[in-house]
Amino acid sequence: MTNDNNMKIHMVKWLPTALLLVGSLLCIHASWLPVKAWLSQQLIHHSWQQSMATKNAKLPSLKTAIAPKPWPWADTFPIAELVFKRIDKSIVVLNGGDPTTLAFSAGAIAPFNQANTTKPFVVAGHRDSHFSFLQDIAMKDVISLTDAQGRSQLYQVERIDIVDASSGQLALPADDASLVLITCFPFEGIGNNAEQRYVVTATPL
Amino acid sequence: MFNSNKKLALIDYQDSYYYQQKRKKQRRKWLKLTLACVLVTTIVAVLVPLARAASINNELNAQAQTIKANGLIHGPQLIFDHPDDKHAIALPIDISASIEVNGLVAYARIKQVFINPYNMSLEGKYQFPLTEDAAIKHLKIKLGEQEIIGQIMEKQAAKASYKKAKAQGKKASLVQQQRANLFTNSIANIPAQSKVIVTLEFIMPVSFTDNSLGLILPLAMTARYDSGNYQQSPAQQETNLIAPRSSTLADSQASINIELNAGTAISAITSNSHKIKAKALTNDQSSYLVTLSPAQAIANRDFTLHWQLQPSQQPQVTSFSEQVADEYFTLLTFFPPQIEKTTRFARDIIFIIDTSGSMQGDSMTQAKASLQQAILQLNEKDSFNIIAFNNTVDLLFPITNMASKNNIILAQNFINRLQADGGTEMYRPLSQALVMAQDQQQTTKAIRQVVFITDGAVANEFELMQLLDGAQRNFRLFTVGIGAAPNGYFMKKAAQFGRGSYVFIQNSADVQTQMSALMAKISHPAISNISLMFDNQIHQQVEAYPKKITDLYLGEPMQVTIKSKLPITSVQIMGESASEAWYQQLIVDKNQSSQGISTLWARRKIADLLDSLVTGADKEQVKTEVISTSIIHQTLSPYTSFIALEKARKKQPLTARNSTSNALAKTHESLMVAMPKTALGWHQQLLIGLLLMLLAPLALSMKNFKDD
Repeated sequence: MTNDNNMKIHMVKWLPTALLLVGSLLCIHASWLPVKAWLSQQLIHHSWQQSMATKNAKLPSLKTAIAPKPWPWADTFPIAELVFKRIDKSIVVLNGGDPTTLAFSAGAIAPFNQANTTKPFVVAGHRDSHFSFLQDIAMKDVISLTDAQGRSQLYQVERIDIVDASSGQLALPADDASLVLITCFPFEGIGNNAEQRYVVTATPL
Repeated sequence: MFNSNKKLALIDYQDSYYYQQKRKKQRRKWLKLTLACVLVTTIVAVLVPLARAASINNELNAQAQTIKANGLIHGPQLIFDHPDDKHAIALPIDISASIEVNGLVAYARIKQVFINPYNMSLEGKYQFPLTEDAAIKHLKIKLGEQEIIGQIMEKQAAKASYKKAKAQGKKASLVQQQRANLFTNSIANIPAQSKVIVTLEFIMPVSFTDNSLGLILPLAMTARYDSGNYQQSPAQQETNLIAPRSSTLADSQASINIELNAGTAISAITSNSHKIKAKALTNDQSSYLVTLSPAQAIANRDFTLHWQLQPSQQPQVTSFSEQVADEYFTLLTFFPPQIEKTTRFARDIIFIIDTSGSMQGDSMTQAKASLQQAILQLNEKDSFNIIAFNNTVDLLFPITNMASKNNIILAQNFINRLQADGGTEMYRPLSQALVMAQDQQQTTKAIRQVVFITDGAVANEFELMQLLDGAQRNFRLFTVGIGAAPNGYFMKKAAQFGRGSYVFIQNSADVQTQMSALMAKISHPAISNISLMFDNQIHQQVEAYPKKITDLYLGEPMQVTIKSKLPITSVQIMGESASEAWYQQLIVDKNQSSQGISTLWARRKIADLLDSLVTGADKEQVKTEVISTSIIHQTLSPYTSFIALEKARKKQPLTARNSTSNALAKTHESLMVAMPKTALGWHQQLLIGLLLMLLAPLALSMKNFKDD
């Protein structure tokens, strides 16, 4: 009986401290996520600009003109830059659609990660960090895409769809050179599981 | 000596149990303090932006929430004919409206969703408001999995077939027009515990003044005061209004989506009634998607939307037309040119203010404020009087008096004393205003203007209309609608018969501007006695509605719907301004084709036919004409009803279902792309973390409690 009581007292004693500790850890972790997203974007931008400068200087570069890695241990590399002129936003797109990549920037999902081909170019990004500005995109907006070779192409927004994502798959016409931007919907939603996706489709001009 | 003593005591003290305890307590105090500091800073860091956002929201909301709850104002309520009276409660009906505005015409699709919560199939009935110039053209009902589509039928025949279907246990729905702006829907045999979706499609015109376009979507109703013994319009006979129940299970919710295509650039979109979110759909700002923010609102007041066009792009004439078989239907809007403002003329103004029970609360405050505003705009040339009424009449002066300083002070005190209570007996104050003698100092040329401020919650509309139509004296009646849900139909019609105009003030913040605008408008002359002339050789048969065009004031457009055998290319307009005759020829060069103009025309024709009843047209003839117009154009009228009946179930081919959902997949060879999780969810983590930290002091106090 006394043992049991002792246990209880012990628990009650440490409960506030434990709560505070866990709470503050969670807060710090939560605020780390957007900070990381912002920081990585700065690094990626830097490495992208460097690679563009190398192209412009016409230095004898590598055969596969792959941009330098934003940080030495990164397992991804920037492959394109998207510029949204009307809303004054730009973002450097990384290769790959895995969670690690998406934490750093928007990512192009394989096999639709080849810019300026006859296939669609599909980019996904987080609704609460890199792609939060997607909600400001309007029909007929012009998006400029510059690939790692420095070639740019203009796209115009033709469709904005909200699709059900419970299947996790989206059907795309295979022979259409469009630009598809995907993020979670609704934008104000809380949590990291959303049933819907906001899909912006732009066609080349 | 003193010193050493203390030291000694301290040495002694440090090892003691009490000193240890004290140190421990102090340490804890520090720990608590630091933790509290961390907590407070984190909370402040999070709450300050949130609070700022909230305060901005509040500012925006402050406008929208000026209308306080009034028991006499309610949204649509559903009542089932449950055999046990205890179960007869009113259930909410959720409304979702999607409206497409093209130029000056709005196409609306309203979905009313409700459930039958009982364990048996029952008949449900509800009443809903729509704008009086809305032309209903389609009715679809989805009961569970089954869909039934309505058609127009003569009222009695429709009622009979509804009753028959109900007796046979078939699902059926009957939509009837009770008043020009009030409809009822009865649905028979709603299966137990099933969901019902009623879809109504209708067309309504967009109002236009001074480059500003407007749209009203009624969501709430004011309980109508019934003055008991009154004469009904023949078209209203055999109608039954449903009395509102005070105890509702929940409030009806409404969500609204509007696609706005103005054709030219829009400079501002506002709503005086709700908080809205407008999103540009194209980058030239000519089309917008407007939604409520938050997406749902309680249906306790009408939704209004205004948008402003950029003035330079304003056209002189716009024309929308539709061809049905070999007939052309045209909606012609003409914007009169600016007329030079002449000197003000002498007026003899009577203000009538409604102080009935339905005006209680914010409506009364608004009405009083608008009256105070109007009084201040009078000048020495004017004479005036105020009539306040509920079921009794209260006069400021026995006859109209000149607007001297002294009289204005008297009037202000009179207005301040007004209180809302009692019934709405409009007949006496109106008739008094029409025959009241005017001040002897006033010139005989002074024009009698009656400004009527009310929420128009009356049931004897027809009787009042007759009074206005039969008045001998030359007067103009201007109605001012106040409150959350005024009876817009009555006020518009009253103004029409009184050759004046109608203003609707929903927001107390707008009282001053709207009232000054009205007072300024009616102090300047207008174009009156307007008539249209078409080219005789081309248009053998032209039918234009409204037949009698009201006076045009500055900045007001003229809207006419016309049926003709050939498309319209030119119109001549004649009228009289204050001093001289006025003439203008219009060339219609740009004819945009648009859907639903014929329905709009039919609705106007029906309204015109019904108006003719007031002036003594033959009842039977009007009835047959209304029924035939209504059936040809498939639009609802007081003599016809929409009836939807269940048909024998058809077996649907299984393959048909898949065809629509995968349209994208069918057109092209398609590939599947995996959609990754695209939400970090850091908001959620942050919130959980904060919550835990907030719980800590609570647990601490619990611990202290235990310790004690």
